[in-house]
Amino acid sequence: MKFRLIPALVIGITLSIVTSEIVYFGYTPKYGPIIFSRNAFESMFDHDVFKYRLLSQHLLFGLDDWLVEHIFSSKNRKPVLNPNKNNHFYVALYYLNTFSLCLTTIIVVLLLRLKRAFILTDSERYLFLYLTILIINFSQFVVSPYDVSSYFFQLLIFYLFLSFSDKDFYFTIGCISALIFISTLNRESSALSISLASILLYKKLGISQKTILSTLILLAFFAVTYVGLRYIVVDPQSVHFTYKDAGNLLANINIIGLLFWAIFFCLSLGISGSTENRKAIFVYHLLSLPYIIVCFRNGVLWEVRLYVPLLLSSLFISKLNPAVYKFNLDNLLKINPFTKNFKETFQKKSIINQPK
Amino acid sequence: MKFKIVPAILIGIILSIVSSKIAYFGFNSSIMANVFTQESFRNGFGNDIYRYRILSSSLLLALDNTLSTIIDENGEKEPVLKHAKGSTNHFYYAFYYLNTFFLILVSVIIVLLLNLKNAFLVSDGEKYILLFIAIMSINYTQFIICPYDISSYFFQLLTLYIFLRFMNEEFLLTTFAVASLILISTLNRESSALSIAITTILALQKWGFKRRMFFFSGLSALAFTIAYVGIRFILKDSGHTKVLNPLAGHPFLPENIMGVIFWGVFFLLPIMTSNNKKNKWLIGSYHLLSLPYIYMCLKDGALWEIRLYIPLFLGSLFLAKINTDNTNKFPAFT
Repeated sequence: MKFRLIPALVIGITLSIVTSEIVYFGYTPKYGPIIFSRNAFESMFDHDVFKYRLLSQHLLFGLDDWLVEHIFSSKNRKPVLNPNKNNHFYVALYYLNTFSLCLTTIIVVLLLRLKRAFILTDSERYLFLYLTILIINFSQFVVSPYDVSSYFFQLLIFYLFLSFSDKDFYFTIGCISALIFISTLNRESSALSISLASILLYKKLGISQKTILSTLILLAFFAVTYVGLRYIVVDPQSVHFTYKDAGNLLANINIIGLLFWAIFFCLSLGISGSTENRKAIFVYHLLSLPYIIVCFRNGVLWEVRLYVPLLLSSLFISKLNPAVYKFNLDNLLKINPFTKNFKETFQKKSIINQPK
Repeated sequence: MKFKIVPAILIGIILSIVSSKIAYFGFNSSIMANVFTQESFRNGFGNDIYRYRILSSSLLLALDNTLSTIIDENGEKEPVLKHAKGSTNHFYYAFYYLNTFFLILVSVIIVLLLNLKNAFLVSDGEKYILLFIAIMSINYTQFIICPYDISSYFFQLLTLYIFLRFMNEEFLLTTFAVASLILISTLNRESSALSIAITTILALQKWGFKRRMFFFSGLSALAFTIAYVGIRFILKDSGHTKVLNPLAGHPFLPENIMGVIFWGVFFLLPIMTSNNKKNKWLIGSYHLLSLPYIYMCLKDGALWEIRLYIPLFLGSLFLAKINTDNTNKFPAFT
């Protein structure tokens, strides 16, 4: 059936709401008591790396205050495993993440509706929509306020690039830079958007001044925000958390996380339309190595949410329409930077559809 | 990328293991119909309609007996077990292992189905997505934990597979194999009737209203009736205990409305992804023939228990992609 805008939006948003209800009130995310009260939440999220993730935390607290003041009634809204009588904080988390998921869904629909950007049948578009929402909420057994919103920013950047970079290149780069700034205030995984943007820039323009300049601008916005936050936000107690499973890849529970990374990596490869797209997925992972290394070194891999941002982009990369792009990643991987006349060979080899 | 059988089975099995682990140990069920001990299980599931579902219940209890000697009760307990006082780790693990085992079988059958030649019109990319969506949807509904749901999906899909794989080659043998599977799966859960609905749709598509179709569907219905009536005759309930669920039978309670919406969006997915109008007809007819089941769900079921829609969803997902080009005798199309 045709993938029309309004029905797809209605279905996507409804599915987001239903799956969130399942995750928060059919199940209870098991991870710790921090999600059940504001004090417990602050005792963790005001410290360590978490203290720099300001944006969603402010939204969460604002929403929590508003709920308490205005409409809160805890009737029918209490998950069994909550030890507290007071439930508004949990509900605030639920509303915030559901709202972010609805926004993410809207962007997914808009992405899928883009003309010529992806090679997808209408049926595949619906399957994609369901798949992305199901995956996001299935990883929500570790609840934080900034995960789902970070997916929204990531896909919004993807959408802006695909939709507007042909019409007004510098304006698009300007918007994306602003979004990188905002989303770094939310979660440092915004760096993954730079990996994605640089692949798209290369595929579009090859190694050109424009590509290098744009990537540097994006990197600068990220770096300034990242460093600025660490300069401005200071934890007087300088608390650092250590988790017994963090960094221990072969801990029983982390093996399940590793398997999750593996099969969902295979999924994006499995559905990809061409070898070029598979290579783009590999290069994307390669450019995301700093994030991947941090996850493996400091993260608990059982928290499968850590792979979701990589997965979401990979799913869309797997269906990119190669005919839209002038440059091919295929030859990029074969180039030996140690030969003479590297620049000339590079430009010659990387061009596939150079206009005559 | 090509959908090859060995890698796909491997991915399906790992996916089942990972997603079960997430459903049981990442999340915890918020709705505890039962405390996790054999006694409370017998109190709840030994009565009412549940006592006739003997197959998986026996497997669960046997598995629990074995695990009780292996699993350390002093080890760390899931929050759900701490909350439901008196629960044992080994009984929770028995549920987990049993349901994971059947989910693995389900994923294998899904791969075998998708790998059938000429049975479905579906691209290789879609095959992978269908596999992932089916397995994840099943585990989304596992916040109501019971032993016979996932095994019933296994029997349902196995019946479908046997029909599609062997019916062209061997009519009689396949008919008897399907009837026996329906008999066995009725001992597990009465939703086996949905297997009659889906195979009847396929039989109609194959032969139209012909003698073969009546023989096939008649025998399946007979097998179901024998198992259904027989088990009620053998297992008499002296106490006539009814298990009451306050949400049951009220589809418009606030909690159940989410269930109704779930039915809606998961009905729409197969419709939206179906290859053509004929596939939509097949999905519609499948729901029509499943009306007794749907009626029972609305009358006696709590719709927030979204697991109730999964057997209809799984069947529809495959009907949406079934090849309607060859030997098409379905009454609505002629």
